[in-house]
Amino acid sequence: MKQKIFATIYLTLFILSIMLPTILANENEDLLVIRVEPSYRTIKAGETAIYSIKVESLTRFPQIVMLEVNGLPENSIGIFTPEKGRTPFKSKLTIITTIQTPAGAYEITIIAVSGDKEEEAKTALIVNPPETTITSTITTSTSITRTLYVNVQTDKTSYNQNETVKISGSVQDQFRNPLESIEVSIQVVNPLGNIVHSALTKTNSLGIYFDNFTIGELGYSIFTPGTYTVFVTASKEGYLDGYAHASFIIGETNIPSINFVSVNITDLNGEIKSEFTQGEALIIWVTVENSGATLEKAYVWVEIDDPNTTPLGVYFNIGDLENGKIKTIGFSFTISANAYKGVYVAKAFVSNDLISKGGKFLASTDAVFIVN
Amino acid sequence: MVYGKQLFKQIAFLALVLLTILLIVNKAYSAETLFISASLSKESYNAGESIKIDGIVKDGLGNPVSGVSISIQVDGPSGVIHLALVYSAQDGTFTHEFKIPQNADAGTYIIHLTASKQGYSDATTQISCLVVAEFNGLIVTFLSLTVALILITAFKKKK
Repeated sequence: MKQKIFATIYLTLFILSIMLPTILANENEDLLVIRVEPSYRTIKAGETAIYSIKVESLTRFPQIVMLEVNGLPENSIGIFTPEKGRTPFKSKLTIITTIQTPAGAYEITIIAVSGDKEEEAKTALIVNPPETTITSTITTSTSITRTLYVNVQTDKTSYNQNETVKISGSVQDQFRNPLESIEVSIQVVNPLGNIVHSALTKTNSLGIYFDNFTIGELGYSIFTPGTYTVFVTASKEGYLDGYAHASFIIGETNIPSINFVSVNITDLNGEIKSEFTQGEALIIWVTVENSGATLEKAYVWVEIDDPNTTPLGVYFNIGDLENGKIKTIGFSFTISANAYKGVYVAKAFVSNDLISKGGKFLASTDAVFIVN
Repeated sequence: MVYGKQLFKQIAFLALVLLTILLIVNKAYSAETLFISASLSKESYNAGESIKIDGIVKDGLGNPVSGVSISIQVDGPSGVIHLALVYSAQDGTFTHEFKIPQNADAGTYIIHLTASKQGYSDATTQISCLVVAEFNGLIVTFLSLTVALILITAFKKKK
């Protein structure tokens, strides 16, 4: 009898020893799942197609995920609302075509990027020739100089020594099309202002770039806890350079570390939308996270620019951004009845005071919407 | 002997004052201090026109500083009209352009700038310009016609 019990325990331990590494490995593997619905949409050139996206993480830990789209037809634009989020979250992809969009079947790839991982989901867009009666066209921004739009994020907002910081981001043109083979310069600056990591990389075919470094392997022998800033510069001949920054903390910090979690645009009923009409009202929901010290009387700003890059209005909210807390603020805006049709940009900022009183912006991001 | 002591005290006091001044000057012009300067191509703009800001960020030793974030806030007569966050290039220079809204109020516009970089103390500056409201073509035509009619009537009466 004793032998049987011994044998059962031995066998159980043996099976566990085989399974445990797999279970632990799965726990640490930050698996992302992205779903897109429907599997295809059929529209006429000049019309809009909307897809629902769901992003989930298979681990217990929420991840900051950025969405990208590839495979759009010519003369069209794809807008995510929101473009970035913390898992699990839902987003909408609105593909807006013009009457110049060539007819055909297009395989649309939606990519979720977090750290050095990317997961993709596919859908299709079938564009039929436009009807002769269609007269509406999208007026896109007529910017004289071409500008690169770059964004940057880290997989987490706080790290311990010897952990790996995974940096990722994307580069787009002014119409938010991903740009391939763009040179991206990355610099990580420690709380003392010293460059502790620098890298030069290029965007892949999806306009995405990756980089990572381990905190324990930094060139600086004296480890400095506090807020670290990642600066990126995207350059290409014929374009104005694009700049962005993100911050993360190592250990304890006595200064705030602000990052935008998402910017959602909804109608007055709270439905996420990226396409509005003249005279319609909308709400811009800005979600901010502070992983550093509490920032008292923080200014959260939103500026809305029309398709000609003219600022239409600046709005702000003053309140405390507490350590470790996430805060969402809504800003309402009514599109004028005679507003230009085209791509509008909602720019969001967080500052520690009015700039006119010596304050500075600690974080910035933007989101786009269409007025049709 | 008493005179010698007094002289020593005076010299010591002067040395202390000089040392304090040197320390202040050194801190003000140390490598960790940022200096920002910015300018506009014109002093006066029409509503609807683009304003281009050019500037440079240097450290206390006069060396250009790259990767400095420059926070910009533009105040018009009735409040904040524009915000921007730009970065200095390798040579310390930065540029930003924005359009004044067509319906912008006429008056003085102040552009506030704050330069900041980790490891450096912040620097601020401000520049201003005048925005002139765009003349409505119809109003100009109407006013010209009125003036012309008054002049013609006056001339006829004189005759």
